[in-house]
Amino acid sequence: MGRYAANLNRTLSTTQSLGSIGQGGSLRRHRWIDIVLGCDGTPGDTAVRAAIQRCTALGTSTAVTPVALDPGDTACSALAGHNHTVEPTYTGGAVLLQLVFNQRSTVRWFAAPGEELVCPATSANGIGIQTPVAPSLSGWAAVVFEE
Amino acid sequence: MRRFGYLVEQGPQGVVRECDTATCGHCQFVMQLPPAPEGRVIVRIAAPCGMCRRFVCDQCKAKGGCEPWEKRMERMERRERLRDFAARG
Repeated sequence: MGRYAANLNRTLSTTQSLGSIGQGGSLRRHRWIDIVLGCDGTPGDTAVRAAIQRCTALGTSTAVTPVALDPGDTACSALAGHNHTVEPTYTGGAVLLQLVFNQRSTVRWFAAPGEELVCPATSANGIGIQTPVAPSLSGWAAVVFEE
Repeated sequence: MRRFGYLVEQGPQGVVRECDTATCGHCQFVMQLPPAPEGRVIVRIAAPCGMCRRFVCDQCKAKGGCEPWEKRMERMERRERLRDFAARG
């Protein structure tokens, strides 16, 4: 089991996802361990609400290559993406984590061992990050996951 | 080993808020626990499930029954394998 980090970045939008990570070619469960969210635009005083939600289709996005934290690990099978042109298909009611924070802040969540957010090994299943409330500024998310 | 997850918001003046979190054993919703003693309850933990002994959120508690997330994933994966098998004929 390897650990990987994916950096997702885009101009925050209330209608478009910040990024998503989901099943790739070979189906393997992956577990989100650590999430860091922030805004790297001009400092202001606006609120950001991020919703981390399950999805059953990953939509269309620019691929991001997750980096193996241990260089000895093989490339991960999960697909990460940002700058979606077609939104992921989110599972209604499956918001796993809601974070509300000031644009000047950086927010970080990490899971206790055994309490990670786990995606089942079924095709196109994944987790996406939405920003239902957000300024039009560059936002980013760093996600560490295990598979 | 930590029993809870951890959430921290760091602003320009330092830590804005921090709290422990617990993951619902049935749906994986991350519950933000109030810092004792005066903190505001953001999401209340109902109670540990009587069957699986994991913390569950209010919504899952209200639904009743016990279906741990692990079991639900196994069911989803089994269903997909059966579908693939049927599609291959």
